[in-house]
Amino acid sequence: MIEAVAADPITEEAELPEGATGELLFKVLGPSGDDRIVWQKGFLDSIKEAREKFYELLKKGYVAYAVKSNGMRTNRRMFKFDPRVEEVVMVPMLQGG
Amino acid sequence: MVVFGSYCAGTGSVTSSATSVSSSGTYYLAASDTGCTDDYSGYVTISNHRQSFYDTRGYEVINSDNGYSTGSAINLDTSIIYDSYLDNQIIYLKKPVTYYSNIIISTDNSSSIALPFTAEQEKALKKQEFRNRIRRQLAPEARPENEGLLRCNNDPAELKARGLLRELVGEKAFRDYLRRGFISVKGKSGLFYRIFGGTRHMTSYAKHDDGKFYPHEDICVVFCDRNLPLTDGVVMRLLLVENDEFALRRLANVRAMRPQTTSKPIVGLVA
Repeated sequence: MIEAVAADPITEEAELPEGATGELLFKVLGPSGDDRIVWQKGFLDSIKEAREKFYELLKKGYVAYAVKSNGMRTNRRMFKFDPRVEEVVMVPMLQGG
Repeated sequence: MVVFGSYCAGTGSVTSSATSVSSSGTYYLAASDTGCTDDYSGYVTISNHRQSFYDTRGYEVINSDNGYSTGSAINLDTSIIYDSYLDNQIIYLKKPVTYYSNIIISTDNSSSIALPFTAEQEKALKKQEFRNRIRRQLAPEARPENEGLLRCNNDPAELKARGLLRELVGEKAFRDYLRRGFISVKGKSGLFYRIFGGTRHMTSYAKHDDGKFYPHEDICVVFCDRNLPLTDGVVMRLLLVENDEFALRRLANVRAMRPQTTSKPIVGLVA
């Protein structure tokens, strides 16, 4: 089981991170295929929501992998939220078969 | 007298005829004519009325219609009783024509369309059916690797999951996956992994001294929630192999496969 990672919340005074433009896409694997959630990187509120969702899913046991917008893998597992990534694939909790 | 594959009318005059075989294997015999036959016992009458009748094996013969319905079950091997007017008609034989090769459509009312099989024909037919049955039983059961994929071709969730895999692995690898039912991925350790969908185990392959890859381990890792689409399992294992083989081995049940004759240490998997 994956341990949950403590969130580091963005404060009201926080600025938009550098390079945070465009969209951030979460692909959450689930019984209906993958649910896709899009966040606008240009808005601080949107990034906050994405961060909250990210850590909420991590607490549920999901594992996050960063993916490029063209779908190619980046060989990167995410333990902390990074608004600069383009896409995140969230994989549900796993167990040995 | 015309054998099936041609056409003749009830009262003698044939104006046109055509035969064709549909893509579904249904045999059509079409013709246009005018003519009339009435209640002939022992003959076949081709009619523009709808009728469905069956031979002794239960094969259905349907005659198209223009709205009338006077058909009844008729044994083609014995006698056929029917009355109708002929006009633009089509006969559908829903079985291969070989079974009906002795069906004759007459040009007059004195001939029978369906002659009973002769004793030799019956014997030959039974022999052939027996041979076919034995052949079916002897044939090896071919179970393709992508059998699971084929079963869920119409599942929207599965199609969505395949879309995600396609984005991750690219067009060529995705096509290979559809054809073979698995994808091959190289981990950072140098091991190759054959990844299947669903709950099927994945296999790792290690390179031996002879330069070939041999089965090394049997690895099983699944979602806690078993309701996920089959291809989501592939996505999950792919990401695990490429990103975190250690996590994969920590989570999964790993069983070493024999023969383990590799003399090379598996670099990258030694903690």
